[in-house]
Amino acid sequence: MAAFSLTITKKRILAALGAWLLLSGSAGPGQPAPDAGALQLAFLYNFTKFVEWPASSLANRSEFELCILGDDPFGAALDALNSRTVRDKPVQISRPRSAAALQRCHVLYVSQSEGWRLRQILQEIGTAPILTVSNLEDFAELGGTIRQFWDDDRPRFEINMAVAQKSRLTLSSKLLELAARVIRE
Amino acid sequence: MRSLPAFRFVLAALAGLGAWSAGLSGLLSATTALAEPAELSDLNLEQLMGMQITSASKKSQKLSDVAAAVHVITQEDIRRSGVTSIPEALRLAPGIQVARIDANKWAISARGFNGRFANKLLVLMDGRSVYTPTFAGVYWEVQDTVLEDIDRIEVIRGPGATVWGANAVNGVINIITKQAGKTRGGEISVGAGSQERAFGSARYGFELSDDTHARVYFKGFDRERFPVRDAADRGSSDAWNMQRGGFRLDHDGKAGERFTLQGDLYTGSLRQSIDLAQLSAPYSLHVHDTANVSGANLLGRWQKALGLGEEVSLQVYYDRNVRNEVFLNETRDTFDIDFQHHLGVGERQDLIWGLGYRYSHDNFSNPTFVQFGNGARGVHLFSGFLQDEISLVPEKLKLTLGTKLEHNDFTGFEIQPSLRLAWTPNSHHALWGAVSRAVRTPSRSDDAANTHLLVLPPLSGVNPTGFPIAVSPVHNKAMNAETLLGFELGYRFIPSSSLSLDTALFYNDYDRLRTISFGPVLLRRSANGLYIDQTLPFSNIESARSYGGEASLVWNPLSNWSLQAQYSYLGLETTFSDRQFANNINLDEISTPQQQWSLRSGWDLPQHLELDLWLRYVDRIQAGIPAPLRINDYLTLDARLGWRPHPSLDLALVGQNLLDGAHPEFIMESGYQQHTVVEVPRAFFLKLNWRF
Repeated sequence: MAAFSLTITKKRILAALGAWLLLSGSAGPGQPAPDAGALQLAFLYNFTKFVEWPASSLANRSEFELCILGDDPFGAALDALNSRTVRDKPVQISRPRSAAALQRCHVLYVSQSEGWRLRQILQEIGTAPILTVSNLEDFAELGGTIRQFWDDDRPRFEINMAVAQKSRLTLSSKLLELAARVIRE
Repeated sequence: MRSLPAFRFVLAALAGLGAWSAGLSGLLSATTALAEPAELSDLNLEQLMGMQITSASKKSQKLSDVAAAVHVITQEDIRRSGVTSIPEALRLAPGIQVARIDANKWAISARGFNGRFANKLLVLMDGRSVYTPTFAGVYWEVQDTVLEDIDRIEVIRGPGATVWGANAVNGVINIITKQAGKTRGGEISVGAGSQERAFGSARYGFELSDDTHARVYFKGFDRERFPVRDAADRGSSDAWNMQRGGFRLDHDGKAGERFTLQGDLYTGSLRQSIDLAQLSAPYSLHVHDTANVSGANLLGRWQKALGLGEEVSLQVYYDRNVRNEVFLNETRDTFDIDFQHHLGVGERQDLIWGLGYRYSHDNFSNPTFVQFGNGARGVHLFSGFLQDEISLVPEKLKLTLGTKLEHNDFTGFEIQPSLRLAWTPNSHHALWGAVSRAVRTPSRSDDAANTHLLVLPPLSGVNPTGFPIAVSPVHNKAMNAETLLGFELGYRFIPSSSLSLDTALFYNDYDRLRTISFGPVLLRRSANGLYIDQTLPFSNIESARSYGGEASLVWNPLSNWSLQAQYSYLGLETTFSDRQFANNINLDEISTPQQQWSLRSGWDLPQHLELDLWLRYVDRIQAGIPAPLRINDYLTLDARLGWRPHPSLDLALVGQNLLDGAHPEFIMESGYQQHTVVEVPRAFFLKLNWRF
């Protein structure tokens, strides 16, 4: 019967396929790579160690406010940050929905979803002492402070120093050394 | 053939066993990954910069707090599944019933009521509704684009009428293409195979200015016919071909204003075998027909940000569809305008409201087999909606209240409110519930079409009289909208970025469903003489309740291996307010599989190879009229071997439906497919993608 011989051929093919799969499956890299969103957030947190805010921005504030605009990629990693401190102040994560709320941020992460109104957001911030961070292309050129990006799947960042100075943020030389690019004017 | 079921079982068992045993180690590493974020933040910048991510870690799972059963089919899912059409891609979503009727027709639904004319699923392509008011449903065969240009397909199971409007009763499908800026450069895709005789597409994306991007595309295919199980007719064909072209232009100045302009043109030729009833001998015509279809659409969308959490959008589109088939010639023109305003109110509320208007004009010009009382008619639809998302406990408890109010020409005002609550105690768990009302408004066919389902020859076994007896569905001008009151409960669990579980339960209470009822028996005269007409007027005498659930598990045990498992269950019972139908078989109860499951594995192998396996099980159903045929349950396997020899070149060998020579999946419920069962065959094709 044609059907019978077909079954045999199929069995053979699948057996060969299965064997190859098992062999090749074990040949691949086994260590899970770090989660991209968690890694970005770790960078965001680390940046705060190399940045000095003007005293006025931290005085009279019981919390260090980390703001997020739009759909962030951080996921569960955000939970862990809630228990940390920056400049001896507990980190508070907030999602500002008004221009007034925006002014209270110390760090502002702008998500991909907000790219279409980036100029508006940056205009709203003006020269307020807010460390702005984003993955958006042209972020640093358009007036953001730090842009994160992936170079061959390795995390890199670039800095717009002119914007940092106008915002009265002092960035350590160490941070500037590690940056892939620094825009000075 | 006899060895096949046992063989299938062994294969299925092996696949399951293999997945779980190999996965055990992965599960352990997944749970340890819970602590990962904290550890990452402990590292210093130099250490962080030394890390490297993979493509798998870029698409890790994030908890969604959406209070609805949503599943997103990504571009990567589409690419790696090896599917060649949008309807086939929908098999990737849990709880969606996709059944192939023949080579060019599909029956697709969510949570039951499946059929060629499944009318409770609303489908949109880039915001343009492709749900036709002719029969209330979707002509799936003409919904297409370059698959590589699709960004994602959002599949919402359950009612979505509060935002999307009437006919989003059992689900909403949003097919979303990439912005033009994301498709820069050229991509040519060509392929050939056993069922996919030849296919190809070419897309070129370019920059018009710093802020404006555009792309143009062309696509065409020629598909082989499916094997037909028909004793009498071996020469029938359902082979088909289509050609389509289009463009998309996006302007985004990053200054809080953006617009999109896009359009498509298509033409196609679809062969089909149709059984048509007529009042003269031989009373049933078996016709080999070629349906010629064509269409065009143009859509513009403008969005403006008014503030940080506030924006307005305006969308306008025109859509034309032409179908010429042996039983119906149809031209439909649709114009639609839609305005939305989203704003934050205080710190706790997100308000979104909108207004819409749609004008849809049809022209039916071939009354031989289907007669519309008025062969040309334009219908108006006015709609407005308001939805408020209230954050009861910030980041933890969210209440969404809203309603749509519509006015249509058939049933007047319809109100479709919903209440949704989502609780996310932390970023690992989300629990949600919803109560919503949705309606399915009458179609043009319900309101105005008459036809003969079958004609019993005179002096035959079933008809001892001397006259032919026609069994004739007839229109009903007093049709009401079908209503649904739906209750849903869902739970999402994401223990780590490499493991996620999404589950949903539902209970649906339907009332005033459209069905046919026994009308008067009349002695009538046609050009062929006297005949007895058993009229079957459309009526709203059916009620139903359905219940079930869906579960979807995504797990990446290794950075180069991902697994997806899905399961869905559906129970459905109907009742009729009219006694005459109490003992009849009801297609609604039997034409949707009770259980479906699938298991998908994607392996990234050394040497730029990818191996994808996709095992699917679909429970048995019965389908077709006048006497429903039993369609056995089936287990099938698709496999894809992909190879990227160069960053700009992809090769893929795809095998579909590998576990049997051919199997049937559905029979049309229109009576047009009385003598033939079309089977879905095993198929292979080779595909090449070149980017430049």
